Amino acid sequence: MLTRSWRALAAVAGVTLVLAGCQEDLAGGAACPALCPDTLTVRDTVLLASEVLERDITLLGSPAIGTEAQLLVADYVQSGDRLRTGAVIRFDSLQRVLTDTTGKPPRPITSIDTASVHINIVTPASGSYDSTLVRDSAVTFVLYDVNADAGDFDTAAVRERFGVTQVGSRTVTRDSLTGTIAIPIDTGFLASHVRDGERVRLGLEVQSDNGAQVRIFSAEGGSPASLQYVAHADTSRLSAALSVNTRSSNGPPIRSLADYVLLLEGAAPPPADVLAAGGIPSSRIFIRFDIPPSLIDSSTTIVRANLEMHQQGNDLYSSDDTVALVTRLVRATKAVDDPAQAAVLSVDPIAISQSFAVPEVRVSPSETRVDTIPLAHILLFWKSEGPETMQRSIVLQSSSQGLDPRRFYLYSSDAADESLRPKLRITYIPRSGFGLP
Amino acid sequence: MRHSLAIALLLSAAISARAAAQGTLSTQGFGYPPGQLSTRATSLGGGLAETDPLSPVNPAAISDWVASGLYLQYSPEYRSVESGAGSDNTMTVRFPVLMGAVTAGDRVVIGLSTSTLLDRTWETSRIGYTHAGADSAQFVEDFTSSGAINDIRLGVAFAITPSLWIGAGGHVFSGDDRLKIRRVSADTTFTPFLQQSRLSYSGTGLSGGVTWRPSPALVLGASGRVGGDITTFRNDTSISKATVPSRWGVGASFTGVSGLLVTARADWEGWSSLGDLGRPGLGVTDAWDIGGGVEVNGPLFFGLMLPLRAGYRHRTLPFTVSGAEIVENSFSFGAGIPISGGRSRIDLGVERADRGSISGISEKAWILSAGFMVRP
Repeated sequence: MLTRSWRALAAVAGVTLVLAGCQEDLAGGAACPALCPDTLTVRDTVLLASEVLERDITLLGSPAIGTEAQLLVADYVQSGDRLRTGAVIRFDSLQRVLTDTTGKPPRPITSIDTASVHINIVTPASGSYDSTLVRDSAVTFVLYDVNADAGDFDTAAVRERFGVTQVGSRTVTRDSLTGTIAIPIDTGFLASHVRDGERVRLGLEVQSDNGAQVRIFSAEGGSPASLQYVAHADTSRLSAALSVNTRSSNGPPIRSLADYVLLLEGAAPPPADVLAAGGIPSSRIFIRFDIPPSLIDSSTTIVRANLEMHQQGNDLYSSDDTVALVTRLVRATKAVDDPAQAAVLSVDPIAISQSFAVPEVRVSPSETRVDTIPLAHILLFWKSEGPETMQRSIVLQSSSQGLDPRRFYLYSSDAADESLRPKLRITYIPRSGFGLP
Repeated sequence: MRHSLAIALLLSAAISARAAAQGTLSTQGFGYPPGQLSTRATSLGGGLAETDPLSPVNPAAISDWVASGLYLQYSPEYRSVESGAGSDNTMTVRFPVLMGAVTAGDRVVIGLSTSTLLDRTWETSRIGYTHAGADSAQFVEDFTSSGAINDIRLGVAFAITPSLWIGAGGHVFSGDDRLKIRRVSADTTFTPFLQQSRLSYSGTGLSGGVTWRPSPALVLGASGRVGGDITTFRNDTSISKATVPSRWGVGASFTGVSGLLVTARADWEGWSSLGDLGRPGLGVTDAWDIGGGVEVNGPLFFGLMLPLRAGYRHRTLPFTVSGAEIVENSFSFGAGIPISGGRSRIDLGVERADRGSISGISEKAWILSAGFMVRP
């Protein structure tokens, strides 16, 4: 009897286990909407610039001079507008003595018999320089002595030196614009600077009959230009190779100024009544929000937040090619009140989380249109960080800032026509306290 | 034997399949009432409930435990819902009754039980549109509810005479409900939306009952419950208050023919007293539950005689759809497997429920049931 009970028990327990192990099919909602509850209320509100923007300004010369990863040397005309830029490369410290392993004291360099500047060409996204970038079959790089007795940021004095004293040049065919290119320079010029303890500051330009634009890597880009020369002292010989470097006559050196781009001829600065992003020198737009706490610092959930900016068509350097308006997130606390300083602390939102990505607005700056910038994920991040930890600011910049003369012009909160001012359109779901049937 | 059964029970309890449902007729309002019936009583159409010691309905019926023991019940429901838009099939897991009893002499039996009063476990998935200004964006919304209001009863049965027992029970109604809404939009400018809420319930009640055996072949039972206050809390904040439904019922079991048990019951429950527990306009109605069944001696199974059961039950579910009452008719079948000389038993049952057609929506369900009763 006992054995039979055991068998029966085992059989039933087995059936039970099989039943318990079954997993259900998840919901299909065939009976919706008749039986499905609808407990959420979705609301939409439009916050005008006067209600939601604490500040919106153009940051001229942002990013700061010298912080470019690539240096654009260009001379071309596009849609009737000329752009001419040069790169300033500094060698403030030079090797002026020769030492060897014989134990003799260092000996001053007396002569130089070979000298060249080596620049590293940035390969375009298309893979090579085509006729849209270098319109002739060859391009000439020209080096000038642009040393000026002026302050570090007195670029006007440096600009005047372009085209005055040429110290080197080299013509390169378009197909050879790749890798490292050596531009010979006047050994006498260099030797005198080495002997006299003077710094060498060179201006690099391109010359081409029909226009050219070439990008070279900067120190910030990780592959700066270098100065290489063969020097002599007595009977000894030395091969020197120096990367760009700089010193300051008054105070610590500003390392980023070891190489930078200088606008030699181009468009005028943007007008004061618009927000401008892009161009050469580049500018960025700084926007600081003052979002009502009832929306962002409450149990309300913002599900969409679109910043609507009216774009004013800018025909300078007009082209069919599109440029992207890129959104960056300012990671500064409220204590950083100066927009220029706060903008330095901006990052690509993806650097924080992939889910914070803000899609680019890819458009031609010459179009007149409404640019919509989705900021919902950013607002959720701000909410999670709290109002004190992080200021609620963004930076808008051109995807080709410093490399493309075109600028986005966007109407600001001071636009005469109120309908053209920025707006923040928010869709949100109030805390519903759902649950009771 | 006891050890093996305990292992089987633990295994059964440990396997907790995720429960889900969708917009259904039976899970409206605060949920579906499984009925507080044992597997055996369910197989008999609920007819045995007033005299069944394993159904936490009549506290006087605890007397039939005779010896101390434990009871656990497992009842998965396989539900299908059909509408003009299609059909869905789901499976919901329940452990609707857990009970224990101890005897104190020949005249007193004390029982402690927990049973599901209302099971609010379901999940809906639907597609809708969010309208924002002139735009609209499609979303997929998953709305999940998982929880129940449970009836915890401490009951005492006392013998006035060997054939007349009275019983009283104190009830605590508790439980919680975890709800979650998640919306994901195909429009990437919308962020995913997730909101969660937890409701908890607390209420009381008293019950009393009597079982009387006027002859060896007949057992009569009657019981009632008076509901006290029941409160819903969100976090620690009271958000609604109502009265636990009162109920009363009568039932009879007749064994005058050898090898045959005939049983029937009528039960009324005043569900409408829960109206204030929900939002204004909650559709809830008082309901009758009427049913009966027969049990006969069946064939041998591993050398043991199997009682076979069949029943029919007709009841109204407490929560309405747009004012329309939902009627549930069910046929049930089952068998019992005595173990250890009859001291313990495993009951198996299957119920086919038809919940009518409302607004073009019909719902049917297979409810399987396994009850494990152990008396050392």
